[in-house]
Amino acid sequence: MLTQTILVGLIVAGAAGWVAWRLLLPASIRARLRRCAGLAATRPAAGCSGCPGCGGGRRNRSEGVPYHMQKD
Amino acid sequence: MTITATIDPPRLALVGNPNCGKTALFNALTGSRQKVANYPGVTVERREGQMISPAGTRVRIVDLPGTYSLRARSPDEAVTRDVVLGRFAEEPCPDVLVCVADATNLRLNLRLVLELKALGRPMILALNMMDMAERRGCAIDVAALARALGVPVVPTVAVRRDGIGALLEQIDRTSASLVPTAAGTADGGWTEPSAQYLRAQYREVDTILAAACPRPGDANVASHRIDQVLLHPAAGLPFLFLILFLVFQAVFSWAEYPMELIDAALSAFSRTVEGAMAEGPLRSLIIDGVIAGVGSVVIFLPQILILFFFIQVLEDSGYMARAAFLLDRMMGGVGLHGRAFIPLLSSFACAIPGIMAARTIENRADRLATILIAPLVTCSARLPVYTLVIAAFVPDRVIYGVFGLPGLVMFTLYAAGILSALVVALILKRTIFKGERQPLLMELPPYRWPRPRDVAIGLFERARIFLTRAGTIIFAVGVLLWFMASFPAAPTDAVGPAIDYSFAGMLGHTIAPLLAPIGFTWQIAIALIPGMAAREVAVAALGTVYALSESEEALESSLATVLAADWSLPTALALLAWFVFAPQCVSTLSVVKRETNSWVWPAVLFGYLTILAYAGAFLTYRTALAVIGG
Repeated sequence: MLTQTILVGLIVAGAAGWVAWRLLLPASIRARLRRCAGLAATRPAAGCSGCPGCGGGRRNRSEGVPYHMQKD
Repeated sequence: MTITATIDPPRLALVGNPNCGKTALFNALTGSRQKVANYPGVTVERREGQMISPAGTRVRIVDLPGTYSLRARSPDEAVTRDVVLGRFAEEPCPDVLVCVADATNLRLNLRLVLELKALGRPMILALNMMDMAERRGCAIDVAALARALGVPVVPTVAVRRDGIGALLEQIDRTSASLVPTAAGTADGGWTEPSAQYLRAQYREVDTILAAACPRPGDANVASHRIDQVLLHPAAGLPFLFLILFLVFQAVFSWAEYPMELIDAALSAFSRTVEGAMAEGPLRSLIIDGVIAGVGSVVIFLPQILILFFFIQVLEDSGYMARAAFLLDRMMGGVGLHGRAFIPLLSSFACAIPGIMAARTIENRADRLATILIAPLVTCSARLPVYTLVIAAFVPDRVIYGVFGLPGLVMFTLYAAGILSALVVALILKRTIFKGERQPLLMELPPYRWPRPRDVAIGLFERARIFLTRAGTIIFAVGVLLWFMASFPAAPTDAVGPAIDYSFAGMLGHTIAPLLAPIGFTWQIAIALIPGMAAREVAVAALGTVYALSESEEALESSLATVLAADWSLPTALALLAWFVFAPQCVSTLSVVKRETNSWVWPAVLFGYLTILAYAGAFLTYRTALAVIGG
């Protein structure tokens, strides 16, 4: 029971942190916090990748992979 | 701004007319999966990718919105002009311009080629869609064209990746020849061309074509013949509506079996967890929070994929551009710009790309009007809400021996979204956005068979996006909602379900009086709050709330069955009316802020949608109560 309670506490705290970071914090504050933490700033949205909505502008992981190594 | 040929890696910009295959080429070069479709105006913003050429050089590639000239008339064209001329302060000017030209329409495309060549910058011409040009009997002497233009020319078929190897080799040669010390103005002294300059340019195009394209090829007879039927003044519009109607019928009938399978799998998973874990908060979180919440959204994946299968096929075939043409008169009737069709079409997936696609509209007032109505078009996030309520309250009956009633109701809801968008547009254009209507000028693409690979990739992307949302935003909000609906625990002398004593229960009961006039229960009140994060989260929230409120026997049945027992029909209809107007999700509002550079328009959007949603739900609820009773 205690283990379950601890695990649930961690999951709920993680979810709350994710929601606060991704949904509640304005992008400008998020970028400032990232800079303060020494992390690279996220690049400006390309297409509509900046939104969590449709992901239409998402970049592919294979970017930067030599052409001949890319899958057809 | 100066040309910075010393920059490593070199930067390439893909420039060309709309719908000539720039994004297909970008995808082929970088391995990206950016959206491509057979109509102009799909790309409205610069996109960047990287590749490593055969010589081992890392190259950065920028895909730009299509334009017929550097004389930009709309925001998307201005992006292309500013990148090409190096006017973006934070972005270096491209080192090499890769001009993409549609080989089947060289006369039109060469004008932009000449304009770019006049900039005096390193340039490559990618002669795309060569296969189609050859099929039409168009003979292009590539060497003669290169001589006449004074730039290297590489024939390509981007969608099949033909000619990409040769293009990469040419990119290597051009990149190697970049002089590190070269510096100069990026715009090459570019100014708005005069009429005299344009006439001289047309004559130069004729001269080049005479030398390099002795046989221009036949007109696209097949497309012309199909258009005679599909664009017929009388038959065209009914045919379009028939297609849309059949799509919604298929969404319901085809999805039935896979949805049942997912439902059965989720139920089995839930039973397994129940049997394997001791009773406690973690078990409750998994069963009542994750499976009941996330699971109640995931079940709609088949319907979303079927809907997007049809949209993708219609887009790739070239029919969607015809739909814009067919609906132009209807859009013009309410004062909307003809180009508003593409943003509205994009909004069926999500309002965000729809709002961004409004950049193709030159006039600011028309653009704002389109941005404000785009969220009224039913986005895919509303599909789970509609389907859930329809499954609970609309009998699966066949009418006139052919049409399923659920599909008919769904079609009506989508039509209601479009109709309300047109009515709001009419009001906006008659009041705050007055002005003359601009005519629609659009290059109709040829009909093409949709490529199965492109359709499959499009569907895969759609599934990935949907499941990513389920695994991130819906999961996180579902966990928080479960926590709010489970704590604090009910007192020992509690009467009624424990959820009544929880944070969510207290919040729901506090808001409920506000929503009582429109027939919403306190459970719906709770679901509407996380629904602001993403509309389909409302379904997940209902799943969690009912999982924690209902008895064991009730939980054996699906969420739709539980809702059918708990809600009255007027309440269900009011909820559907609410979601036709549904006050926007946070992401949409933030994109409206970004596109309009003001907080005023997101506030206006949120305000008018909330009023419409409340008024629509109120009227629906009261009318239904009066007609059929509670």
